[in-house]
This record gives sequence, structure tokens and C-alpha cells, in this order.
Amino acid sequence: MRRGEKTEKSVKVFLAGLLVVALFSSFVSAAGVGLKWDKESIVVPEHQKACITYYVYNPWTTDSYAQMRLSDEMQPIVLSYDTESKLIPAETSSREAIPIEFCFKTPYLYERDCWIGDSLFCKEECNEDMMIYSGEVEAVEISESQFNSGGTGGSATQMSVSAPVKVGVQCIAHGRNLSLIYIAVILLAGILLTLNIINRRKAKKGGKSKKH
Amino acid sequence: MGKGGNWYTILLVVILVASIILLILENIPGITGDVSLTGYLTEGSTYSNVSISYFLAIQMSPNLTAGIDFGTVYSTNFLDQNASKNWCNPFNSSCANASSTDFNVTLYYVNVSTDSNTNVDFCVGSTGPLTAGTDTIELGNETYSTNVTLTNLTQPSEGSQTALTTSYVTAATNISIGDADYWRFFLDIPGGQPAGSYNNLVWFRGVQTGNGCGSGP
Repeated sequence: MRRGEKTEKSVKVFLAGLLVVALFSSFVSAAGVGLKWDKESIVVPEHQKACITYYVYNPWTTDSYAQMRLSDEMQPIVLSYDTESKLIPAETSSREAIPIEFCFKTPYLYERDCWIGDSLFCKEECNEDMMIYSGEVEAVEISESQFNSGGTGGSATQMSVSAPVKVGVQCIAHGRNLSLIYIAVILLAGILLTLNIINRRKAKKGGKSKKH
Repeated sequence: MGKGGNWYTILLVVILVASIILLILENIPGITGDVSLTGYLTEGSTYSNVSISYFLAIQMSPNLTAGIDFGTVYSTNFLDQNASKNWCNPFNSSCANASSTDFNVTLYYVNVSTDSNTNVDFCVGSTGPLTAGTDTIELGNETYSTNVTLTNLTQPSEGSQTALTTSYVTAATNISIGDADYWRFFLDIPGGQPAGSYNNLVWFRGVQTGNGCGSGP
């Protein structure tokens, strides 16, 4: 064998070896996921929107994909959050964590005394205790293992990290707001007054023309 | 237009002015009792704020990421079938990833990153029994044992098995930053169990120590 051919063969062997190592390392590599939070509860007045931010990171050496989830308890008040899986590059430290915002809109929860329907001329006295929605924010690492083995098979595995979240709904006591009634009275009185003035002017003009 | 017309106009003007005044009063905070007005403040206050942040990251071992494989069993009515990476040695063909120092260790573990600032509790649960078509192996037959920080021939112990459930349970508590939690898995195969490849999904959840597992999986 000539020297050139020998070098070529050893390069091929080296590349093949590299490929095997690469394939093997991708097979055995394990991704991870991290969750960071600096607030786990907020107090929001009734029928208001508020957001809370959680952060995902990945301090490990393999890229990972994470999907944010919110527990069922929080679903009645959730307004929006990013449900798409996000790439978290390898070696993203907690300092560089990627923010994900969860927004909530609180419903009317406390007893209100309304004159018309559920929303007009209402007053609220706030005699009840504060109502709190509590659940979890979860960052799920989405590389679910697949099982194709025969025999007894086994269990695919999935992993997540979670943090608590609490949204307290604040009741704000207020009296009945009668502004609408006052505005209606102002408009009515204004129209009647204007008509009255017009009529008086017409009457005055009519009186003058009769004199002539 | 006589006296009656004048009175009518005056009445309308009075109603108009009164309504305007009431409308203004209604919308000045404090007048209608929403917020009380304060005057002549003699005390001051300073807003003080501190933000405490928590962060934790976990990673399953490569073998746990690949799934818990119970291999092929040729008989039924079999207790404690081991998952393939429960006890690994460098010369064990099913433990290709075992290092030369790994003797009788489990290759199923979950790491807590050093880039965490809180200890971690691990919760485990499953979405349901192992199924193969319409045949099932009840979830109570799939068990685990776990040991915080230690794996050798006897740990995690085969004698202290806990059955998986469909809700999360705390399996390991207070795992320190940078440590690992080791796991072994076992499966009881009932007598007369039909042949098939039985699968399910097992969830691992890391939470801040003491926070509880929450709902799910």
C-alpha cells in the first residue's frame, strides 16, 4: 500500500470514528431545564389584568427545549402566556435566564349589589375574605423518550421543574356610582331648557310682528 | 310667556346646575367614600422593597432520559423484574454507558445543578398503567426506590419499593445543590399476562424543597 493511500484510509477511519462518537454522544446526551422566579404571588383588583414573569434556563452542556405550562387551577383566570416550546441554548445560566410572562385577568368574585343587571349602579362592601387562585408554573423539558422495544417494554420518561404561583383577587369597596343618572338628567334638562328658550324667542318674535 | 314659564325655566336651570355639581362630587375621590382625603400629613413613609429570587435546574441521566426499559421477560407471574440499568457494571452489555468505576451502581439518576440556589424535592408520578393495545399491567406493579446521594450494590434499596401512582408524590427530599438523586425501578408481571410491549409515561418533577408536588402529572 502506498503512503498516500494509507493516509487516506486512516483519515476515513478517523472520520468514521468521529461519526460514531458523535452519534453515540447524541444518543446518551441528557438535556436539563431550570426555572427561576422572584415573585410567586400577586394581588390584583377584581376585573383587572396583571402579569408575572418566570424565567427558564439551561446550565447544562446540551441544548434543550422547554414548554411552559400552568396548572388547571389557574386556567379560569389565565389571559395569555407563551405555550410554544422554546429552545434554551446550552450553558444558559440563571443570570441569562429567558423571561416568560404569564398574564391573568381576574373576574368579579365578590358579592355586588346592583340596581340594574350585574354591572350597572353597583356597590360593593367587601365583607368576604380575599379569594386566592393558587397553582403551579411548570417548565417541561420536552425531549420525551420513545419506546420501541419489544418484550415487556417499559416507561418513557419526562421531566419538569415547577414553582408555585398565587393570584389574590382584591376586593375594592365602593359605593354606587350615579354618574350615568346625573348625565342623563343634565342632558334632559339641557334639551328642555333649550326648547324652552327657543319657544320663548319664537313667542317674542310672534308678539313683535303682531304689534307691527 | 307668563309667570309659569319663568318658574319652569328656573326649575330646569336649578336641576341642571344641581346635577352638574353632583356629577362633579361623584367623581372626586374621597367625597363619595371610596378613598378618604388626608390633610396635614405629619408622618412620612418610605417604600421599602426586597426581591428574593429562587432558581433551580435539574437534569435526568442519559439512561433515564432514554426511558426505563424492563427488557424482555419470557415468563409471567414474575416479581421485581429489574429495569435494565438498575445494577450496572463495566462488563455488563446492557450498561454500555457504565464507566470503569461504576460497579453495581444504578445509571438512573437526576442531577441538581450547581447553578441553583435552593435544595430540591423530587416528585414522581405516571399518566397511567403500562398498556399494550387493550392489555394493561396495573401501575401498582411498577415500583421504584430512591436514594439521595448514594448508589452502590444495596442502595437504592430493593427492599424499600414504592408503587407509582397517577398523582405526583414526593419521592426524595432536600437534595442539595450539585448532588444527585439515584433511582431503581422494578416491575411485577402478573400470571397469565398476555404477551406484548407494554408502555407508559413516568414524570419527574423538581420543586423547591418544602413547596409540595402540586397537581398532575
